[in-house]
Amino acid sequence: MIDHFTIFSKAGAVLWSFSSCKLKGNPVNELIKTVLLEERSSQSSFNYFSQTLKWIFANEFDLVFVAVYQQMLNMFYIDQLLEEVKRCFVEMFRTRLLKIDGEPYDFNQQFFSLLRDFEKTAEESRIARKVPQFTRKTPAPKGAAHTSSAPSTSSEGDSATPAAGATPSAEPNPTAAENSAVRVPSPVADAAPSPQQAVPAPPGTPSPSSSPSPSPSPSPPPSASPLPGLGSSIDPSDILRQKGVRPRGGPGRFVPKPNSSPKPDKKPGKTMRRWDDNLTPEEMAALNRSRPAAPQPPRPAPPPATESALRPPTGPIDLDAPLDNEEPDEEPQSDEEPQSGTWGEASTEELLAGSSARPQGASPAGGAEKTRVGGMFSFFKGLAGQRPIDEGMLQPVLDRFRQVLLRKNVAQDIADRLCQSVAASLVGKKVPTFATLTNTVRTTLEESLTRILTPRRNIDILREIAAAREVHRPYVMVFCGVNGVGKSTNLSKVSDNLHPQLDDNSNIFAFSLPHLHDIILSKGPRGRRCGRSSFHFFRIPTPTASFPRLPTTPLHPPPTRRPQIAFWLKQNGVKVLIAGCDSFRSGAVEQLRGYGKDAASIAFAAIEHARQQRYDCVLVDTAGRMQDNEMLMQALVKLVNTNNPDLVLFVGEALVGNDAVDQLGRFNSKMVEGSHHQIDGIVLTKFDTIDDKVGAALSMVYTTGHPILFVGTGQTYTDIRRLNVRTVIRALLK
Amino acid sequence: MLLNGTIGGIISLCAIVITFILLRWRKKNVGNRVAFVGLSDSGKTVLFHQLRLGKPWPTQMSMRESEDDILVTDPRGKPLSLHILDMPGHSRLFYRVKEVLPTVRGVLFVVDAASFGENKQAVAEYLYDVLANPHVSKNRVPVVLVLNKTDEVARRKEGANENAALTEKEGEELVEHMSTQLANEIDLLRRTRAGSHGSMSDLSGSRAAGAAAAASDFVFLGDQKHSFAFSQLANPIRFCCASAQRGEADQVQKALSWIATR
Repeated sequence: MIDHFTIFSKAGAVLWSFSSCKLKGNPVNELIKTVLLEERSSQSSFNYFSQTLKWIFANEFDLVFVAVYQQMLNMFYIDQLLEEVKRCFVEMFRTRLLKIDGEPYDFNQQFFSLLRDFEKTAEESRIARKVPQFTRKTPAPKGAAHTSSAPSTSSEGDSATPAAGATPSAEPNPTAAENSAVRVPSPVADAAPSPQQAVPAPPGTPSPSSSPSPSPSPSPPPSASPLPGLGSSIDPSDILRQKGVRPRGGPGRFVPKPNSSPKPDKKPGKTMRRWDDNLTPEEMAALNRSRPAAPQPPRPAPPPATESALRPPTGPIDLDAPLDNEEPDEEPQSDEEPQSGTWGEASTEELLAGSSARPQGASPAGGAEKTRVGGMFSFFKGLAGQRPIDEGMLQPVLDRFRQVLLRKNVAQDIADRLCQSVAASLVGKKVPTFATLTNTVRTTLEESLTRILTPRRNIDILREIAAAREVHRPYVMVFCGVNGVGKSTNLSKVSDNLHPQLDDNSNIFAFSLPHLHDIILSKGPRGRRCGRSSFHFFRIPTPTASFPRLPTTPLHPPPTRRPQIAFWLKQNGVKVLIAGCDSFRSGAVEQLRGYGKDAASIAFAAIEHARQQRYDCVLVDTAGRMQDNEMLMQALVKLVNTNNPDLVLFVGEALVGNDAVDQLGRFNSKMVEGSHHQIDGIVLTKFDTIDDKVGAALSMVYTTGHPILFVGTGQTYTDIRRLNVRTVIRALLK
Repeated sequence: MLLNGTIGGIISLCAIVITFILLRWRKKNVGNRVAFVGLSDSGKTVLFHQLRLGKPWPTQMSMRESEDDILVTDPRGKPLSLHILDMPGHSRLFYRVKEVLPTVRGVLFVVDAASFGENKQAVAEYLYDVLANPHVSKNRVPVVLVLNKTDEVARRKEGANENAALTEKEGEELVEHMSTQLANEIDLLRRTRAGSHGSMSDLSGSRAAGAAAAASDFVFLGDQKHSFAFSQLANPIRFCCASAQRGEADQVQKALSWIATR
C-alpha cells in the first residue's frame, strides 16, 4: 500500500528506504525542493503526480521520514505510522544517527511488522464500517512525545493527575458492564502477565517529575500504543455493543483500568468482527466469550482527562477510542501500577506475537535504571541549556517574531506559515549551550528567510539574451501587474537604450499617449522623472492613412539623457524593441485603431518585427489590471499563450501588505492554468518609499517562490537595483 | 556570599579556558577544510561518503552540509588529515556556500559530466560565483574540478556495455572538452555580469550607494584583453575524473592530497 518509505538525514544521506514499486519521477527530491527548502513545511502533505507524500522530522537528529503512497488511497494511518517508525528508528539507532559509520541500518523487520500491524488494523477498521480515524491519531503522537521530548511529559503529567484523582469515583454502570463485557476475554488472558507489570510500572511512577525519566519508561508502552489504540477503534464487538448502549456506556467505560486492561482484548475482538456481520455460529461463540467476563469489570466514572472531555460525542465508537487513547498517556506518569503494568505487559505480548524483534519490549528493568541516571544528569543538562525545545516554550517567542514580521508589512498568512515552519524545524532540537531560545529562533528564522529570498534559479537576463541572439530570435519579456504600480516606468528603465536603434528603422512608429509629451519635454538631463511614462513603439503591419504618424524626434533624447530597465539593457549593447500592448487604457484606443484592441496580436506583430529586424529583446508592456477582472486576466493569458515569452515579470509595488499575496497569487494561478507558463520573476517598485517596511518583498517571493529580479528605487532611469537579501532581512527583523 | 563568589570565579575561569580551547580547535580545523561544491545532483554527497567510508552510500538531495575528517596520503606516503565539507548544491542554499568559502583551504567543484551539455550555463554560473569569491580569488585557493559520473559518459558511447569505463585518453579528452566549454561560458558570463545592476546596499536606494555596491560585488575573472582561459587565474586549477557511484575516486584522492600539500 505504501509505495515508498525513506528515512534520510538533512545532510543528504539515506539511512534506510524501502520501495514497493517504481516511483513516478523523483517525488522525494521534489518534496525537498518545493516544500522543505521553501519553508512550507507547515503544510501537512504534498502531492506529486498521483502520489501523496507525508513526512515528519526528527530534528534532534536532523532526520526526515517520508512516506509516499497513491493519492487515491486514503491512508489514514500514515501519520501514526510515521510517528511510530520515527520512534522505533530513533530508539534503535540512537547512537548511530548523528554520523553515518558505513554500517547499514537494518530496519526492515521492524518496519514491516509495524506496517503489517497498521495495515491490519486499517483493514479491520474498514470492515468495521468507517470507524472515524481521527480517534486513532491521538495515541501515536503521544507515544512519540514520550520518547523524544522531556517537556511533553510535564503536560501529560498534568492531565494524568486529574485522571488519577477521578479514578476512585468508579460507579458501576449496568451498561458499562455490558461494554466491558466485550473486552473481558483479553483481561483474562492477560491475567498471567500482570505480575510482570509491576516491573515496568516503577519507572513510570517517578517519571512525571523528572524530565529524563520518560524516555526509557515510555518505551514499552508507546510501542504498544499504536496497536491497542488502533485496536480500540476497530474493536468490532465493542462497536456493535455500544451502538445500542452508547449513551451511558461511553462515559462509564473510562476508568476501569486498574483491574482490566481493555486494549489487549481488542485483538480477539477484531477477528470476531468479520464473522459478526455474517452472524455465523462462531460469532455467537465469540459473544459467549465476552459474556463470562462481563461481571468482572464494573466501570468507574471517566477521568476528567482533557482529551476525553474535549472530544465531542460523535459516535459510540469515538467514545470508545478516547478512552483507549488516554491510557497510553497516563501510563507513564500515573502511579497506579496495575494499570500501567497491564499496559506494558499487553504491549510486549502483542508485540512479540505480531513482530518478533521489537527492541523496546525487551527490558523494562533496564529502562528503569536509565531513568535514574538521566535524573542525575538532568540538573546539569538544565544548566547547560540542553533542554530540547518543545512547542510550548517556542510559542511565545515565535509570537513575538510574528508580530515583528507583521509590523514590517509581511502578509499575515505568510508570517503565520513561516512561524509554523520554523517551529517544525526546531521542535525537538536543543538550544545550543551559550544561546538563548530567542537567539536560536532568530537564527533559524534568518536562515529560512535567506533561503526564501535567495533565488532558486539564477536569472541572468543579459546572458539569456545573448543565448537567444545566438539562435537569432528576440528575447521576449512581458511586464504585467495591477494598475499604477509602475510597469511602464520600470520597463523603460530596462529598455532605455532603445532609442539609437530606432533611427535606422523607419517602420517603427512611436506613439505617445496623451501625457507622454509632458514627460519627454519636461525632463532635464539626468534625474529626469520618467514616472508614469508610457513609451509605445510598435510596428504597423500596413500603415494606413488614418493612422496618425507622430514624429519620432521627441523620443530621441540626447545620449546623456537615458530613460530606467530598457536604459540598462541599452547600456549593455542590447537592441531593444518595446511593444505597448496596453490597448484598452483610456486614450489608447483611438491611437491603436489600426490594430484592434487585441493585445496578443499586437505583441505578436512586434515580436515578428523584432525577429526580422534582428532585435535582441522585446519588452512587452501590458495594461494594468486588477487581479479579479476575469476578462482582462484572460486577455493577459492569451497574450502569454500566443507569444510564449521567455520571461514574464510581475510588477508589484512595495507598499502593499496582504494584497501582494492575493495579486501575485491570482496572476500566477491564472497564468498557470491558462498557459502553463508561470510568472518567472518580480519587479518590486517604489522601494524607496517604504522605509524599512519591506514585508511585501518577502510576501511576494514566498507566494510564488520566484525571485525579485529588479527593485525600483526611484523615478530616474538609473534607479533600478538588484535585491540585496541581507539588507532586506536586516530590515525585516529589526 | 564568599562561597558564591568563589564558585562564580571558578565557573568563569572554566568558561574562559574552554572558550580558548574551542577557539584553538576551531582554528586547527579551519586550516585543512576542503569544501565540496557544485550543482545539485552532481554527486557531491556520494563522493563525500565514498571518500569517508570507502564505499558508496545511497543519498538524497542535501538540505544542509555535512562534514568529516578523512586521511589522505601525500606523494611521499605521509598521512595528512583533511576536514571535508559536503555543501548542499541547491541554489537556495548557496548562501551557506558563501559563508563557508572564506574558511577553506581548497575547493572541490563537482560537475556532473553526463548532463553537462544541458547544464553548462548553470555550471559556469556556479563556478563563476565560486571563483569570484573574494577569499578564493585573493588567497589563490586551489580549485579542483571533478568531472563526476564518467561511467555514464562511457556508457553512452556506441557499443558500450553496462560496465564501460573511460580510458585514460578518453578521460583527458573529456577534461579538454569540458574545460574549453566552461572557459567559453565564463568568458560570456564575465561580460554579462559586468553589466548587471548594482545591488541595493541600503534601503535609501541612493545612486551613489548602488554604484559602489556594483563595483564591490563584481569580480572580473581573468585577463581583460584575452578571452578567458583557466590558466589566466591566479588560483591553481586542476581537473580530474571520477565516478563516485562506482567508487572510482582515486584521482580525487590524489587531488585532495595535492590540495593538502599546497
